Amino acid sequence: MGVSDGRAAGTGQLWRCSQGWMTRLAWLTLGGDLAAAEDAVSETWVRCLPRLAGMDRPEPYLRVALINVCLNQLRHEQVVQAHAQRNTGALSAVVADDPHLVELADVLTALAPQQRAVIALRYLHDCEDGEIAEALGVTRATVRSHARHALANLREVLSR
Amino acid sequence: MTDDHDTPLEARLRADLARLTDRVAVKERPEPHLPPATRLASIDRTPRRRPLLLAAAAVLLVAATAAVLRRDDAVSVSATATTTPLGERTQPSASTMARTVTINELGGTSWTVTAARHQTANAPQDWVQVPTGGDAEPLTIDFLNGSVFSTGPCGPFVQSGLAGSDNDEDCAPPDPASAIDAARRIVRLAFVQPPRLQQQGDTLTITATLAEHTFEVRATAAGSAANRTVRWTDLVGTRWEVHELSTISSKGGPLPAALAWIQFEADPAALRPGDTLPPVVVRDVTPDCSTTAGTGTGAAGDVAGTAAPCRDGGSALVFQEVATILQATDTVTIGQGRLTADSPAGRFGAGPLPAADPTTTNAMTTTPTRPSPERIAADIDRAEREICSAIDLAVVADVFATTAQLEIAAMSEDNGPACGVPHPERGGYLVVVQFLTSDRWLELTVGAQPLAGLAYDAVTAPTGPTVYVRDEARNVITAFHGPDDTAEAGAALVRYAQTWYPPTTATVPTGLDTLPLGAAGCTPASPRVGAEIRGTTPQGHQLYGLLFTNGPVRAGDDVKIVWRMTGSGALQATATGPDGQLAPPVGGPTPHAGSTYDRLGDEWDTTYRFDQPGCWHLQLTRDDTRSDIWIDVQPR
Repeated sequence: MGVSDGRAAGTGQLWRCSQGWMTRLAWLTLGGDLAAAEDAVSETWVRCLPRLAGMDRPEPYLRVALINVCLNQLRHEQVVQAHAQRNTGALSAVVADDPHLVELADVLTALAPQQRAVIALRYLHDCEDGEIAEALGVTRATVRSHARHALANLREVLSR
Repeated sequence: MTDDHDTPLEARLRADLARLTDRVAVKERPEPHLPPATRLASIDRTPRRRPLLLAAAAVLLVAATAAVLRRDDAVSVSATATTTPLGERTQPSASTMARTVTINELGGTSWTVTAARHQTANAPQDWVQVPTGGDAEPLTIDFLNGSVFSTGPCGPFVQSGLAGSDNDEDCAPPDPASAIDAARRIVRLAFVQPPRLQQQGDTLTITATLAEHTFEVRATAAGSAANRTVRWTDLVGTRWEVHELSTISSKGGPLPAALAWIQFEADPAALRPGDTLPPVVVRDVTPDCSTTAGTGTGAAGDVAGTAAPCRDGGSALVFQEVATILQATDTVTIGQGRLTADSPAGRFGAGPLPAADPTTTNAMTTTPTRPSPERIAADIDRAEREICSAIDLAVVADVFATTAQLEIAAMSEDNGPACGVPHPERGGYLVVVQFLTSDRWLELTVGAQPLAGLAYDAVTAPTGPTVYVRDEARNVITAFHGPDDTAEAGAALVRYAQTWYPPTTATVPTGLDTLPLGAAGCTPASPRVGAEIRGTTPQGHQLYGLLFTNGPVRAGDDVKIVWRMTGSGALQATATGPDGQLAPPVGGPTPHAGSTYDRLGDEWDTTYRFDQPGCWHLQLTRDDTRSDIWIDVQPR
C-alpha cells in the first residue's frame, strides 16, 4: 500500500483478523449498539493506522485504543443524556431466544460503562488487571473494585 | 485474570459472555482508511528543515478586497490562530479590509499563504494544517475536495511529491515510501469536529475523490437499526443517495440547524420519496455557466436556492446547502436519483456567495454541545420573540390577579426566555419564564415534579420569593414558597444554562460560603445550594462542584459533577459508600480545558454511581491538597 490509498502497508490482513473481535468488544462495551460499535472500530482503526505498520503486537494497542474510543463515546452520550433511552435492551435484542442470556444482557446493560469495560476485558479478552488498569487509565485497585461491583450485580443471574 | 483462577461464578460469566458475543453478526467491511492527505499529515509532524506549523481551528483571513472568490483566484492569506471553529466569522481587529473565509468559499480556490502562526499537536481534530512557511517563500495552496494540497515550485504534491524542500530533486514523482516527506508540505482541510451526523433509514454511498485517487465508503443504515453515524472521515468529497429525506434526524433530538446540510436546509420538505416534480435543469455554477452539469426531475422552486448571476451573464441555481459541501469535482444525487446536480468545475458565480450564517447554512461551524456565540444569540432572540408572543394572558391573569399587559424583559442566560409584568398589588416586578417545549426541558424537575410548560418566577416580589410552576400535563399551577423551592427552580435554570449554554458566573447560586462545612458521617453533609456544593478543604484551598442532577441525589443515580479545585497536580477522585466499600467514579476525572464556571482552581468532571442510600464520602486529591465532600444520598 502506498500513498495513493491512504493506508499503512500490510494492514489488510490485520484488519481482516481484527475486525471481528474489535466489533464484539466494542459492541459489549457500548451496551449493544452495533452501529456505534462499527463506528468505534472504524475510528479506532484510522487513528491507529499510521502506527500499525511494523508493530510486533498490534492487538493490545488496538484494544486499548478501542476501549478509550468507546468510553469517550459513552461519556459524550452521557452528556447529551441520550444513551440510556436509545440503548435500552439493545444487548438482549440479539439473544431474545435465550432467557438466561437476555437476563445477563440486561444486567450488563445496566452496568456503568467502566464496569462493563472491565468485565469485557477481563472475561472476554482474558486481560490481566494490570493491562486493564493501563487501558482504562486507572489503578489496579480501581479495576478490582469495578469488577467486584459488577460481579455483585451479575451474581444473581449467574447463579441460576 | 485467567481461567485457572476463576471462581465458578467467573467461569460461568466467561462462558456466557462468549455465547453472548458470538451472537453478534459482524459484517465484513473494507478496511477503513483516511484520505491520503489526512493520513500523511498524521504520520510525522517532525520538521526536517523548517518547523511544521499546524493551525488548529484557525481562521483564514483574506487580506484582499475581493468580495467574491473564484476558481483560480489568487489571494493573500494569513492563517492566524484562534479557538474559533472554521466558518465562524471573527472579524480581525487589525484591518477592515480583511475578512474571514468560510468553508463554502474555499472549494476550487487557490491561495497564497504569507504567514502562518499557531501550533497544535491535535492533528486528528485539526481542520487546517499549515505547512512550512515562516520566512520562506509564499506557499500556494489549492483547496480540493475538502482536503487541501500544498503546491510549490513543483505543483501539487500528488504530482510532484514535494518533500519539504525547495531543491529540484524534491520535485520528483511521489514515491510511496516518501510519504512522510510529502506530508510536510500538505495542508489538510478536514471538516471541523466529528459532526456525528445521522441518517435514519438512509442508504448512503460516499465516494471520495482526491486528485486521481478514488475511494469509497459505504454506509448503509438500513441494516443497523435505522441509525447510522457518519463521521467527518466519511464526508470528504461526497456522493449521497438519500432515500428518506423526511426521516432524517440526529441523536437525542432534532438535527441542529448547523448540521442540517444533509436535509438540504433550503427546504427539507420539498423533496420526498415518491414525489413527482417537473423537470429542471441544474446548471453548473462555474463562472461562465457554460456547462449543463446534470438534469433530473424537480422544480427550482422546490429547492430553495440562490440564483447567482454568472460572470459572463446568465444565472445559475446555487443550492445553498449543497454548495456548503460540494467541491469542484463532486457529484451529488438527491432523492432516489430524481434530482441530480453535478458541478464538475466549480460553483462560484460573480455575485456574493450565500451568507455563511452559522445558524442556518454552514455545516461546519457548530458542535452540538457547544453552540457558537452567534447561535446562542440567535436562540435567545428567537425564544424571546416566540415565547413572549405566546404567553397565555388568561393564565397570567389568574395567577397574578392582574390583567396588565405583559412587558418583555431583557433576557439573558441568567433568567432564560422571559416576559414580565408589574404586580399591581404586591409591588415588585414579576418575571414570567416559559420553559421551552422540548425534550431538554422535560428532563428538568422541581423537587420530584417534572417541570414542563410554563414556569412563573416571582422571585423579585417584595413579599418574598415565590415560584409558580405550571405542569402542562396535569394542568396544575403550583406555587413554591420560600428559599428552598426557589433554589430548586433556580437550580433548574442553572442546569439549563449549563447544558445548553456555557456555564456563566451569573448562574452560580451564592450563599454556600455562609453554610457550615461538611463533616464525617454527614454531620452535617457538605453544604449545597442549588446545583453547587462546597467541599471541606485545608486552609487556603477551595473545592466547589456543580452537580448535574435535579433535587437531592437518590440511590441509583449516576451523577456528573464538575469540580473546581485549587492546588497543583492531577486530580485523583475516590468515593466511599455508606457500607465502607470503595466505589471509584464510573467516569473521569476528565480535565476541562476551558470553562466559565467561576471558582478558583482547575476544572474536572467526574461521574459517580451512588448505588445505595446513606452518607457517601467523596475524596478529591491533588499533589498538595486533599478535599472531602459528604453527600447524603436519599432512598429512591
